[in-house]
Amino acid sequence: MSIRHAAGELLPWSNLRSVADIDADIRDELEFHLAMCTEENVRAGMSADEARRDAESRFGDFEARRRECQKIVLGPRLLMQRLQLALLALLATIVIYQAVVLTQMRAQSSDRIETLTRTIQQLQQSASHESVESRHTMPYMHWSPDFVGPESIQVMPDAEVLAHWNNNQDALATPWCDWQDVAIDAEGL
Amino acid sequence: MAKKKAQKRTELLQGTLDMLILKTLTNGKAHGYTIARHIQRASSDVLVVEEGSLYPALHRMERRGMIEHEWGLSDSNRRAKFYRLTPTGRKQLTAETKRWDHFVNAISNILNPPATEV
Repeated sequence: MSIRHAAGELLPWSNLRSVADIDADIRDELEFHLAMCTEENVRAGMSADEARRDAESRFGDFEARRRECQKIVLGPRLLMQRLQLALLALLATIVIYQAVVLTQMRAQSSDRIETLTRTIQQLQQSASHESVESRHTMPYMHWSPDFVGPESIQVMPDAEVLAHWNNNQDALATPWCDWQDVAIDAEGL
Repeated sequence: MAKKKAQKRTELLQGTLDMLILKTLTNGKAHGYTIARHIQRASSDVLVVEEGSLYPALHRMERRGMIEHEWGLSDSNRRAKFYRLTPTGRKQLTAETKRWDHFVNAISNILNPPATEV
């Protein structure tokens, strides 16, 4: 087995001849056989048409034989092509799936960001417009261990908390990311 | 079962055709048409190669490295594909010929047993 032949077997894509060229060669080879048979028949006394028909009938299905030869010659290349197509299809599926997932995630994120932005804006607006008196009416949940049952949770104003609330009126006007900087008197609570 | 038997028969015939093609090419390079006619004439028209099936056999043998081809001009000045034997093909022919001789001897022994053995 020659080196070129071995290389062609192992690396079918190294054969740079196109499929059309290979197919044309196969067709030429089979056509040559038919032409020679026809000539032989003519020499034997047949008319040209009759000679050609006889040659074709003796040869059998021309297209089937051509395809058979093509399959043999292009066997490894066809296999590689199918493998490449399968890999491409797999890659395309992964890329499309990733794109769909990313789009969904982006849509969900933008929804959340919008909701948060709206909430922050509403809080900021309400903080700037609300009067001090209206804020005094904010309920304060206080739980006392002295009470048992549903009545143990009571809504009751706590004078100290309200006082602290009133002393930090600008708390909600401050951007949320700066709230950690708002001075809260823990002992006062 | 019948399909398997038919497949075995086809393999045998295919192997035989390969051997006849290889033997024909020991005379020198030849195109498919010449190979088919040589087999027919050398066998006194007993073996007639099915013409269409000759070419797939030639391509298959070329893929296995038994023969190789080159394009040239025929006697009638047409572009033709000429096949020739490779060293691998020569080895294959020797092996196939031996196998065939054993096969023929075996059949021959059954059909014409030696007089001493009954």
